[in-house]
Amino acid sequence: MNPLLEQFLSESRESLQSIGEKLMQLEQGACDSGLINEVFRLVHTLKGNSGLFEFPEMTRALHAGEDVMDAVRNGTIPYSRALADNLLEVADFVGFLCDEIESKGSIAASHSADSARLAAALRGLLQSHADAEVVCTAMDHRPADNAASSESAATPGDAPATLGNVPEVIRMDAYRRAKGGESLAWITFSPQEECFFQGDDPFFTVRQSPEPLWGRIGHREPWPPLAELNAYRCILDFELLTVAQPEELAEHFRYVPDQVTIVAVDPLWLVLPQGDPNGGPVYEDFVADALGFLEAGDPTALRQAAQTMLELSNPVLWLSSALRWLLLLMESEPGNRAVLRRLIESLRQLTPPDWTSLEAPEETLSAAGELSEKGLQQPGDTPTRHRELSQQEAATLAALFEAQWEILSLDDEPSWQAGRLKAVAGVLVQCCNIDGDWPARGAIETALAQALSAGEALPLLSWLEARQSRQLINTIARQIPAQANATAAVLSESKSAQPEQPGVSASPNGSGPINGLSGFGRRAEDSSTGPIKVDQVKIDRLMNLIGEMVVSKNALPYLAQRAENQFGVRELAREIKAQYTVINRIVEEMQDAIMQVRMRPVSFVFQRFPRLVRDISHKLGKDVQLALEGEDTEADKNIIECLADPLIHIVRNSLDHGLETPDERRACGKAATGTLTIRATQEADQVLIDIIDDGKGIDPAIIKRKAYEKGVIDETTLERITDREAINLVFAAGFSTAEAVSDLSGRGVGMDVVRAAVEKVNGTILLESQVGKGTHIRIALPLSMAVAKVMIVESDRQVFGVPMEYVVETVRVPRDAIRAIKQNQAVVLRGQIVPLKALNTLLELPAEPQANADDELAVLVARVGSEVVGLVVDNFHETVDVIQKPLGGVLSGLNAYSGSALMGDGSVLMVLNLKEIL
Amino acid sequence: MSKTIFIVDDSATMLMSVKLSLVSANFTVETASDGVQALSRLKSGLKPDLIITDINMPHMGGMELIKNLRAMPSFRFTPILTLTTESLPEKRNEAKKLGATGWIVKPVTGADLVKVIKQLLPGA
Repeated sequence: MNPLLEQFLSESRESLQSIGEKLMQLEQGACDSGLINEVFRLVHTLKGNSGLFEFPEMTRALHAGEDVMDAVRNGTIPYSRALADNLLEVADFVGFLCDEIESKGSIAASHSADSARLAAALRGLLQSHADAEVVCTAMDHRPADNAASSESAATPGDAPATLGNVPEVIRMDAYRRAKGGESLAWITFSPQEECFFQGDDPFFTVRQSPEPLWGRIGHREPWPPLAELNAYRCILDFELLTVAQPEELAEHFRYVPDQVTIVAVDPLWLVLPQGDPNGGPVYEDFVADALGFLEAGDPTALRQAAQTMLELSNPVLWLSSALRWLLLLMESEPGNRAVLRRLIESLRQLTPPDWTSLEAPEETLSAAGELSEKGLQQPGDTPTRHRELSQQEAATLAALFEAQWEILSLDDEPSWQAGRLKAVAGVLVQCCNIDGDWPARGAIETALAQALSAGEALPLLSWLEARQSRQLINTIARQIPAQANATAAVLSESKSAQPEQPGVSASPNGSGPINGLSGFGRRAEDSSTGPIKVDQVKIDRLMNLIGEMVVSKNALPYLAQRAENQFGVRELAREIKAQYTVINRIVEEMQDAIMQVRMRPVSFVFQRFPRLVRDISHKLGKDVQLALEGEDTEADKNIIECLADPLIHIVRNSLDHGLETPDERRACGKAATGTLTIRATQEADQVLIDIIDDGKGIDPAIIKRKAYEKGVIDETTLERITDREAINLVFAAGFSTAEAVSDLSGRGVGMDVVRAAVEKVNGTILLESQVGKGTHIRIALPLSMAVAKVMIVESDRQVFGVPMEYVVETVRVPRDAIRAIKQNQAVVLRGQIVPLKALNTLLELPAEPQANADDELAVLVARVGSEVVGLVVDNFHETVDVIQKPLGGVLSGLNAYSGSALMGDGSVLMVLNLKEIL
Repeated sequence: MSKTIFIVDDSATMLMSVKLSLVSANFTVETASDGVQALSRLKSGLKPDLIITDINMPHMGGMELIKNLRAMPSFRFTPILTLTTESLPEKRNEAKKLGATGWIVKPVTGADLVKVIKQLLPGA
């Protein structure tokens, strides 16, 4: 077959499997837009792939499926059980087509009717979804654009507190632009911590956002010390003031709607006086005057009063800030007396004016015309400390801070220290004032007090350090509107100006650290250490080779023996033995490693059960809950695969015959929902699979009667047989208890086939059942079947192998301890009667069992099924690892042996099939 | 020297199909199965002459991939083709806006694909 088609088939099967699983998860109430999207994507991909080939039947059905899932993920139609049924049917159909393509290379034309029917059924859902039984609706999925724009369209509520971070000059500018008819928006953007790994560049996103006026980068939590800083975690917050249209913003942030809030800004929110309170409100006179002018409708006088006051006051004061706003408001809203009054009144408390309960604008001031004319004259003259510092000034300021840092770092004599600390604090306060950072004054004074009392510079130093990192972030933020290249330049400049920046490595500079990620291991591992797909044949070859190796290394001990006994070179024999232990260890490790490669989790088989149980129980009208346990238990791939069919059969049986309908269950006083548990556990070198149901169990009386009627057992057996043995008769060939052969189980495959399949991989199957309580089936499988451990026993001068899984123990039994019970012999072993059988008799060898010098017989106690039997042999030898090969040709008719194995010395060991000979 | 083409698609079948037709037209082909993987390959030094990407992919879709690539100086001008089953004009415009060079609707024959690529990569 052409490799492309082969690839298509294998990928399609994987996708179908995955679709089935996801639909099951959805049905179990995991209503999750992620899952729905995933199903859509899978169907979509399948459809796309099928278009590569000429399979119109497949494409048509999948296309309908894709449309339906698309509607579901957009929330147009709800996800319903009927929908799932249809989709699952399509998945089955496609799977069936895949099988047909694989076997015949094409699709028969007869399937086009099915394809049309399935497509029509799905498309029908698109129209008439209303009557469907709603399981869940994909409402939590909403296209990004909607989410973002609905938020931005929200009516302005409270002003975001963070607006105060915007410098006054910018706010004033924004205010003017808003009054000029532009819309203002305040954006806060908190990128996900892991966003760098998703290839996001939040800084770039923000920098590219349309028409920004001002931006700021903050951090969500305190910066850790540089050494502990995880530069790959994004803990940044962005704030942005823009004049872009809400639609534009929604469009720009459409990939991160959940991380962004966009608030339309009421211009009044920007009127936020800030500054040094200078000891508290003492402006009662001015407030009274100003209010008087306002009430009297005399804007000229009011403005003059405000300007005079402003000239007299230190520009860094809160008062000055409020006055500047007052002047601006008088320019732009001369008629809005309520607003002006609020602002003036706010001077009494020095708290920002409250704009929320503002009444409608009052009548225009009489001199409005004149006022606005004059007021517009020279807004630029208004002294403001918020202006941007020129680059030179900024550098000077940075140098000043740097100098303070150095002064603080000096070793000092105590007598001078207090004075020096005070001097530094003084300089810092002045610097901060120039920078417009009034609140810092309080912090510096606290730090100074601490420093003085502690007698060391540390508190001031740490304040300085914190400020420097804040400063750096602000520097970056100020550059946001600027060109990308300019930013990079400024950033590197500020880096060199302020060498000790704790935050620097986390700053998401678009052209720097993010792209630089490529140099680190985290990314590299994505591409190089994933799982690789290896052809099964190659692994099998490795497995065979290691098997050969295990056997050939076993030749070394014989060689050593020969060297010593035959050639008398003891020295060489010892060296060979030493070398053998080394090789042995390596080979064992290697074998283990190769075995690991072949190990698959049982979930490989289990994953199809939810669907199976769902379908069957629906059909039978039974209510069944399936519990899967231990899905990650691992076993050899071949064994797991052999397990699939028997398990399905057992599950079908349980559902069909074991579990009752809800009505029957209620009548017996059980919960209406039946439980079926499938559990995998590992015990020593075996995997145990338990299938437990709480159904009606198996009635031994019925089994006995049926078995007798069908001639499986004769009359004498019928009387003697125990209930336990009777139940296990279901494993007998040609046994089926179903009164009428149902649609599900009873397809001519009985439990005997299940047993045969399990025994084929050297497994055992056990059944226990209690009428009315339920049935428990246990399948025990070897972890791997490639290399078998066998115990070598000797009887009549021949050696035989006994598979270790049967061996319970080896004991020496004195001949006089053996009792005769009727014709049989038995021995009591720790209070338990163990029937004895001589291997010689079983194999029809003429010799009698030989006892050792103490007249003790060698008894190998073996467990076959649930019975324990003592096998009398002449002698025990060691256990060996062998590769068991089934007998071929005429020898294959010998039931007494399960196979043969090659020994290290070249001889052949026959391995006994205890199930047959006992 | 043969030009390198980087194909991003979550479907191994699709990758194989496109790869087969491009390799037979003497292109060097590199592949990735989703946007995240593609980005990491590109960031770790892969420098293709042309990128072909699917739109619907797990982890990171084609749109986002294009957006990210256009944000990287080294891939600002690399031609990016989208190869997808989507044919909605809105999607097409969205991709154009993000910086996609062209839009091809699946399924496409190898010959058509090679023709488009040769137009984009003169001298190939």
